[in-house]
Amino acid sequence: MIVVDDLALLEVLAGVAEPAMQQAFESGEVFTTGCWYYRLANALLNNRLEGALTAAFRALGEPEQVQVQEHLDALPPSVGLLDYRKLIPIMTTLETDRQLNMLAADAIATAIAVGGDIVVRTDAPLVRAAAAQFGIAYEVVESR
Amino acid sequence: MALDLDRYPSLRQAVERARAAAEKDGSLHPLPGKHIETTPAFREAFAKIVADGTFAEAVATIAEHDPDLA
Repeated sequence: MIVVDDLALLEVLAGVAEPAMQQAFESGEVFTTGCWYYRLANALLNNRLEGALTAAFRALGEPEQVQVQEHLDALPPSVGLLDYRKLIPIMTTLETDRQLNMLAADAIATAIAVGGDIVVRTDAPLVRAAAAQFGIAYEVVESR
Repeated sequence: MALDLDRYPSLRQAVERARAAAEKDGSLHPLPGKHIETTPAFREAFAKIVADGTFAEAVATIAEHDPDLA
């Protein structure tokens, strides 16, 4: 299992992720977190925050852009997402060297719960440090 | 180095409860995703909004307003 960040999630849903990540998706081995999903949906779809990304995304063209938007409106069951009823007890039990923000605690708790690696497109130092502390594999993937 | 939950008894209990609940409701096992066909034009346009920093800028704006999402 892999736990992916917002950009990796977007690429997977768009079918443009690097091959290993796309293969993991097709094998039912991709999880994300509530925070990364929320940040992605906010960045792309929140009218209040509408900016260059929203405009660029809308200009991508049919039908791929529509499909990605539909997947963000209703995350498909092929992307794992644990609910906070399960995660909060783990998040609040994490004993870390540095205080975690919600995004980092969410990522670490999800990775521990699913026994997965964390694979990101954008380095997240807080997540990286906590992953190292707990022995969770953490990888920053370059674009293909 | 793998996570040794025996070093964290409270964490181990929380993880075991979460896994049992997730196993029970099926959320521990995502369904296989469908293969997605994309055109070269789409891939190129998509790569551009990642490479030119448009995506990073949008995320940075969100994180700036909410440190919990940084």
